[in-house]
Parts: sequence; C-alpha cells; structure tokens
Amino acid sequence: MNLINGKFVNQEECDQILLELDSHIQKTLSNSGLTPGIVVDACDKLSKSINQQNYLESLIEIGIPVDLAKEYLSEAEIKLSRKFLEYKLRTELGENFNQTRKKNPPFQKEDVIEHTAPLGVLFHITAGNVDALPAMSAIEGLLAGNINILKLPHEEGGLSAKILKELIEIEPALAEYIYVFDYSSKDITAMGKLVDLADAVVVWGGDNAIQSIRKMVHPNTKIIEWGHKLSFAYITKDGMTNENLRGIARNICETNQLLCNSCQGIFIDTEDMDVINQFCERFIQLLEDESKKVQRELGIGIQSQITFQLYNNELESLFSDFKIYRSENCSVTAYTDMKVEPSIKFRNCWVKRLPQHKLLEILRPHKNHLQTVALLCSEKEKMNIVETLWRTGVVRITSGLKMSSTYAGAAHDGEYPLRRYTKIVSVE
Amino acid sequence: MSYRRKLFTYGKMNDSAGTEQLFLLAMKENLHCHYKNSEEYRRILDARGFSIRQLETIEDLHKIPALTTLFIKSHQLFSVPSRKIITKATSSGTNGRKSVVGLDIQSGYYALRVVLTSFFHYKLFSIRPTNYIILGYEPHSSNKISTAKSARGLAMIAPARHKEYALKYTKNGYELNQEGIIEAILRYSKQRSPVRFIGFPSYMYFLLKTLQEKNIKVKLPPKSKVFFGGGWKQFFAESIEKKDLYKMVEEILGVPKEDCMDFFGAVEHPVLYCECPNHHFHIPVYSRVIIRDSKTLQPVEFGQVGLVNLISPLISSMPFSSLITDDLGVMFDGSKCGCGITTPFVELLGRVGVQNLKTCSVNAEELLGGVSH
Repeated sequence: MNLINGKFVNQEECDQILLELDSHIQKTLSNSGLTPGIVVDACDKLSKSINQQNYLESLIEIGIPVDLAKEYLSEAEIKLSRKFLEYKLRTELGENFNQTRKKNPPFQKEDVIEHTAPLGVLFHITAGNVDALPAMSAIEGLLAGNINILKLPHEEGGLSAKILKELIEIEPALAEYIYVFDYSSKDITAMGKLVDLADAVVVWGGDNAIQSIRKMVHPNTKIIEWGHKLSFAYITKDGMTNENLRGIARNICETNQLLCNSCQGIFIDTEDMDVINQFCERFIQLLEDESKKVQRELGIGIQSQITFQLYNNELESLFSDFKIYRSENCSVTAYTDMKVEPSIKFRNCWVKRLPQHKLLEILRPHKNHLQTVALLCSEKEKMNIVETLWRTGVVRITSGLKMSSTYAGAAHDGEYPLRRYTKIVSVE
Repeated sequence: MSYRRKLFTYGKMNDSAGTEQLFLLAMKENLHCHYKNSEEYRRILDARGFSIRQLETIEDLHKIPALTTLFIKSHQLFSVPSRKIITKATSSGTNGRKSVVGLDIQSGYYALRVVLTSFFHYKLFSIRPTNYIILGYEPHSSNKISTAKSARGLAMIAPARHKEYALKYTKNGYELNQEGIIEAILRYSKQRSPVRFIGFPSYMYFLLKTLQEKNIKVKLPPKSKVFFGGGWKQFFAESIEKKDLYKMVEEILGVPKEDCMDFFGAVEHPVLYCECPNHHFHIPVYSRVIIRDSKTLQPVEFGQVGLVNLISPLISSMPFSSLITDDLGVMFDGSKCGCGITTPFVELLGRVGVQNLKTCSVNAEELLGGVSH
C-alpha cells in the first residue's frame, strides 16, 4: 500500500513520484516547518476515534484475536492522547523544547541561541513484529518535526497506512510529511534512492536487517537502529512468590515470547541444580494455569514447528544434561549452562542458574542485545542487583507483569527516540 | 529368507494390504537389529518405554519412538561398523545443516531394488536413445549430495545420447550453464530422440520463466518426459502450484502433463515415491506413512494435516526405521484417487513454521529459519 500526499496510489504513480521525490521534499523543507502542537492535536483527535468499531474490524481482519485487538486499541487511545504525547515531548526533549533557548556559557562573551530542530527527512525501515509499529515510528518522527518516509514490512497488512491516512484527514497539513512506500527491501534501486534522500535511516529489525542497512547507507546519512533485543527474568529466593511468578507466566502467555521485552527465560540466583528442578516443577503448573486463561490459537505451521522442536529436544535430552518439563500448552526446560539465549517461544521457556556474583561475567558479553529484566527479589536485595544489571547492558528493570507494557516518556532500548530524531542547532 | 529381504524383493509394489504382516515382521526384525547394535538408539527406545513386543499389528507402528530429521543431523547413529558402509550420501542440507547417511551393502541393494521396481512399474525404462537436460550438478568426485547421485541414476534408465547439465563443473567450481541449457533445448527440439528433464522443481520453474521471458516455445519430440524430484519445499516462497508448473511445461516445452512425473524420497528414507497418473504419491509396500497431530503427535485421520512420519525397515546400517520429518503433509484414502492403486496417498504441504513470523527478539530469524535449498 502506497500513501502519498494523503492518497493511496498505485505502483505506477508511485514510481513516478519516486523520480520527483527530491523536489517534493525540498519544497516541504523550504516551508516554515511542522510544530509539535499540530501533530499532538491531530493525534489527540485520532485517539478519540480510534477505539471505534472500524479499527476493531481492521485488526481482526489481519488476524489479531478480539481481546488482544481491544487491548491494542485502548493502548493506542492512551498513547495518542494529548496528555501522553505532551508529557513525552517534555520528558524527551526538555521543558522548553519548542522555544529558542538563550544561553550564556562560561568562557564565552556573547550569548548563544540554541534550538531543538528536526533532523529533516527520516526513512523508517520498519519491522512487522509489533502491530502498527510503522505508524507509531512515523508519529514519533512527526512529533520531532521530520518528513517521514516509510517502508512497510510486507506482512504489515495495511494497518499503519490506514492510521496515517486518517491522521492526514484530520490534519491535512501533515500530508507532505508522510510518505508510505510498498517497495520490497530487495528493490535495491528504490531503497537506494530513499536512503540517499534521508538525513537519517531509522531501522527496526534483527541483526541481519541492521547489518544489510549498514552496508547500504553512505556515511553521510545517519543510521538510527532499533535492533532486536532479549529479555528475561531474574529471581532470588526471596522473590519467588506465587504472585511474582504468575506475573512472569502472564507475560510469557500474553506475548507468546515474541517481543523484545517478552520473557525468554528465567535465571535463578543459585548454583544448585536441585533448586532449578524444583522451581521448574512449580513454575510449569503456574504457566499452564496462565496459558489456559490466555488462549491464543496458533497456526498449524507454528504449532507443528514447536511440537517438532520440543519432541526433538526430548530426544536430545537423553544425550545431554537438560531436562524438559512439559504440560499441555507449555514447557519449561532446566539447563545446566548459564547462556542467555532466545527461547523456542510460544510459552516454552528456559530456566538456568545464575548466582549474583556471576551476573556481570555472564550477561555483559550480550550488552546491546539485552533489554528488559523482570527482577523478583526482596526490597533489601533490589538496589544491589539493579546496579549490577545496569552495568551488564540491561536497560529496563520491572516486574514480570509489566515487562511488555510501557509508560509515557519511557526510553526505548535505553534511549529517547525524540532525541535521536532531532538535533541541537545554535546561532551566535 | 529374512523378512526384510522378502519385503524388498516383493514384486507388487502397491499391494500394501497383502503385505501387512510381512511389513510388521520386517519392521520388528529391523528394530531388533538396531536395538542390539546401536547403543544410542537402544537408549532412546528404553527411555521412552518402548518394547518391540508392543508391535502386535500394523496399527501399532506409531508406538515406535521416531527419530527426527533434525536429531540425525546432530547425531551419527550407526548399527554396523564403519567398514561395512559402502556408500555415503548427504542430504541437500536444508537450513545449512546436512545429514549424512551411510548404507551397508544390503540396504544399498534394497534401495536400488525399490527404485528399479518403481521404474518398471511406471514404465520408465526405454531403449530409445534419449537427450537429457539435467537441472542439477554435473557429476564430479567432490560432490556427495544425494540429489546429484539420483539425477545420475535417473539418467541411466534410458540410454543417453547427450546430456546437458545446469550446473557445470569448471575450474572455478560449479557454474550456472543457462546459455548451454537453452541452446540444448532448441537443438533437441529439432531432433527425433525424446528428451528427458530431471531436477528440482524450483530449477525447472526458473528455467521455464527464463524461456518465457525470452519468448522461447518449443514442441519437444513425443515420449519426452519431465521428472521432478528433490522436493517442492523450495517453492513455497514462490507459491507455485504443481498443476501450474505442469501447465507451463506443456505450454513452453510441449510436454503434456501425463509425461510430467514428480518423485520424492530422502536419503534418510530411500524409498522412492512416484506420482501415479493422477499425480498422487501412493505409499508403496516398502514403507508406511503416519500423519501426526501438530500438537499431540498422535496419528490423525485421512484428510487431516500434520507432521509427516516416514516408516520403513529398509536401512540396516542406521536406525532410521521411523523418522518424523519437519514437513507438513496430509494423507488420503487411496481408493479416492481413481488411478487403480488403492494404497493411501500422501501430499506434502511444505515445511513447518512460517517465514514471516512477527517477532523482535534476538536470533529469532535463525531459530525459525527460512526455506533454503
């Protein structure tokens, strides 16, 4: 789906526009620019209409279960609201982000005028892992005042284009700041042209996607990477309450372990494998209980892949020292190693030992791949562990239940997106 | 005479009903041999609480703890000493990992018998000199990939007048010989000898697309044939139906769909499955197929999709009596086919998993895998 100037256009028109895109962009850049206020107003209006039937239907159409779709919509309603966005702008860009700031630095006679300015043109290469992520990425680009060119992931289903079109209908001034192209990432000519036009390429995706973009982008263009991440739980003896564990189980079931911030596995502060095995016996039951509460139909392709993998692991376990605990809808595997790794997903998590004194040694090599840790421990232990975890590369520490939720002004992977999409300019 | 020998020299390859008891006895014989000689396999059967005595009827075959195609990539299980291995083949290595299969003299002989019986049955032998287009590797001592071997085997069932390979061995290694193939097709089309094409369906598809782009259409001599094999799984990215490919073959090469034939087999399970005239893979007497539920792994009814479990006592050198593959398939009542063969037929639907799964956790691409050759 191609969205240009607020209208859906076919591939032919799209190719034509691509040839002239440079001059379109120059024309927009020569105008007075986009103020955050316009974007916030439009988003706030959108947030009031988003929770209505037509969106629910669109979500269900692309295969999202009804209960999850409703949840997404109420989440979107909050995230697009004035209150949320204004708080986000102030947190990320500072209280006076929209004004010029007069400064009188030491060792300098004259005053300096500073201003937060957009980077200019952002080319978002988005991934389809979170529904409507491309639209949210573009909205962040808009809040920072940029022209946004989007390449949609092919499995996106048109949801982002629909949201952005509606936003333009609410505020037509946004039309020239939003371009959605349906080019495949294999279309090197089109991709190359879009990359060249951008001041920064915003890339969402796995290591492979990021590596291929790094090769493609000229040093004259900035790359803003939002890579794939890994999250897990860390539990001490004192934190092992049923309520805490249920939170982790809930996250595993709700996200099917597909998100950057989904719990892939559980580390326990122990050196003793007996503790791990006892924990597995207890946790598999909690996980099964939550699994039954959060029903998610898997396609036969995925279901059989998981079954095949689990059965294979069972055979492997006869020749290795890991142990699989299985239940009807989930599994928990007790490993003797301490490696951080992704799970086989869909409610199949690993459990490993990791005594506190080894946290840094084991986790640090994974530095920028680490993201969220659900930390379950006593208040007394908390600060100590938190400080060590920060040094390993982990950027967010929360409870099991909250692993995959966010708050207004929250950093993403340890950084404020709006700061990455803007620059500080100065005049003396 | 051993039961295995009786089974693999049994002439009527579609008489599954008449060989139920024989198949069961051959399986038991084969399992006994692996249980005795492969320590790893013994460990698996024991750990899963299986005893060969549990096999009372043919319906009990699902009770045999199956290995997986993934498991045999990381474990080399042998039931005979290595000096008894006469031939080694390597699977074409989906997702980069290959399985090595070694056959002893007896297994190699039975595998050959199965292939020959199938070729006789489907009247593929011919004494007429034939031109070949082989959409695969030119034989070379450095290449142990089984598809190269089977393509060579297929090219022996009618005497070769000329052979042209899509992947020619040059001093720089294998190189694509597209020009040579197209020239050969044009040349062959003007001769009287029939032409036989052999190779992966995906290669055939790319060849046909190239011919289409170059506006080349020929009418190959009568009795020309197009043999596929090596799996349709590579096709899923292109979403091409078999019948559409056959249609393209007819339009571009002038070979009717009756003369297109697909084969499937695997080095780990060297029973050859050939398409019947209605383009179905009937299961011959030499093997049984069980489709297993995608969640519980229990056998499912005809018409239901599940994981494909291939069962055969063919190999005595490695304990591959029962293998669960990572392919999805569905099995149908043979009598519904209409070709006269009444044994069930199986349709392969592609690999488990989906390519474009939505996930952003690290390493998921590798874990979930793409479809590769």
